[in-house]
Amino acid sequence: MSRAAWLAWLAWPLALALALATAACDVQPPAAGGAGEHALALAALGGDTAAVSRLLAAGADPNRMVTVRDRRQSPWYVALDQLRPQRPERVAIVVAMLERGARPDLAWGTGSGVTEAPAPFWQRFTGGSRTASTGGVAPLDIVMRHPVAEAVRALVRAGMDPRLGEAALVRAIETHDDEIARILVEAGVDVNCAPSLTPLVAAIEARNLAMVGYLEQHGARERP
Amino acid sequence: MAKAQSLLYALLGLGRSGTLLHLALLAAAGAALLLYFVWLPRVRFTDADEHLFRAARHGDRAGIERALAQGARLAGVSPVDGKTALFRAAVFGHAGAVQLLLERGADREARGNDGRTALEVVSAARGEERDPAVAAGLDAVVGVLQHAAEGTR
Repeated sequence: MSRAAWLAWLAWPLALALALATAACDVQPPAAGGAGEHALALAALGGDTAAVSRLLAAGADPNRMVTVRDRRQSPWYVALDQLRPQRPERVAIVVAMLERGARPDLAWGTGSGVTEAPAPFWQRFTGGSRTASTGGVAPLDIVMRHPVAEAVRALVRAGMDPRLGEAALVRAIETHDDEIARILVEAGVDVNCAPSLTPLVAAIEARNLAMVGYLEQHGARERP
Repeated sequence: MAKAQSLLYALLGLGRSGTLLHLALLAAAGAALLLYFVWLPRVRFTDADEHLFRAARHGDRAGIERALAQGARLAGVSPVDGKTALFRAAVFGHAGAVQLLLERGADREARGNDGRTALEVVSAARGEERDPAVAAGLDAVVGVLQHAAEGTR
C-alpha cells in the first residue's frame, strides 16, 4: 500500500476523536447579564429573600453571568455557594431561583474566568465527571458541601438529571445523611452506581443497617 | 515514526531487539491481568453469593444455610471491596451468623481490599461505637472471632 493510503487509514480514527472532542465541549457559557442580574447576585450574596423574589419576578435570569466580588459568576452559583443548613433564608433563595428557571443540572461561575479548561473528551466514556465537559458545576455538588435536604428536594423537583446524583448519594450515605440519600434514591439515582464505592457498600461501611435494608428494597446488589 | 517506535519499546522495557510480536504479547498479558482481577471476580459473583451476603448482612442463619445449599461460596468476595460474607455478618454484630459461617469453614483470616481482617474491622468499629446495644453485638462478634482463633492454634 502506498504511503498516502496508510496516512488515510491513520486519519480516520483521528478525525473521529476530533469530532467527539468538539462535540463534548459544545456547551457555551451563558450570555452576560445586565443590571437586574447583577442586583440578583448581590441580593443572593446578602441573603435578601424579598429582593431576590422581586428581581426574579421582574425577569432577572439567574443563569446569566455577572461580575460579583471580582468574579464572573451567575446569581445561581452565588446562591448555591451561600447555602448553609442553619440559614433558612438562603435555602429559600435557592428554592425560589429553581422555581424561576435556574438550571438544576448546571451552575456557571467558579472563578475569574468565564470558562474552565474543558475536560478530556474520554471522560464522556469513562464516566468521570458528567458536567466537567460543560465548564460549569453541577448544583448538587455545591449543595453537598453543606448538605440541605430541602435544596436537594428542590433540585429534584426542578428536573435534575438523576445521573448527576451518584456521587452525592454515596457521600450522603457515608455521612449518615439518610434523608438526602432517600430523596436521591426516590429521584431515580441508580442504587447500583459506583462513583467510588457503591451505595450498598457505603451503607455497610457506615454500619447503617436501616439504610442497607432500604437500598435492598430498591434493588441494590453487592455486584453492581 | 521509527523514533517514536523505539521510544515506546524502550519505555516498555523491550529495548532494541523488540519486535511487534513482543509488543502484542505484552498487550495480551496486560489484558489478561485486567480480565483476571477485574472481570473474573464480577462474573464469578453469582446470585447464590448475592443471597449469602444479604443473609449475612441481616444475620439470617436460615438464609445463610439456604444460600450455601444453592451453591454460594464462603470464599466469594464482593467485587467492590473484596470482602467476604463473614465481614458482612461481623460488622453488623451478628455473632450467631459469624459462628455459623466459621463452622461451615469461612476463612477468618481473609482480608478485604483495604488489607484488614474481619476481626480488625470489627475491633475498629467497636472503638467508635457509642450505642451500648450495638457495641454489645460487636463485642460478641469479637469474642466469636477470637475464640475461633484460639481453636485453630
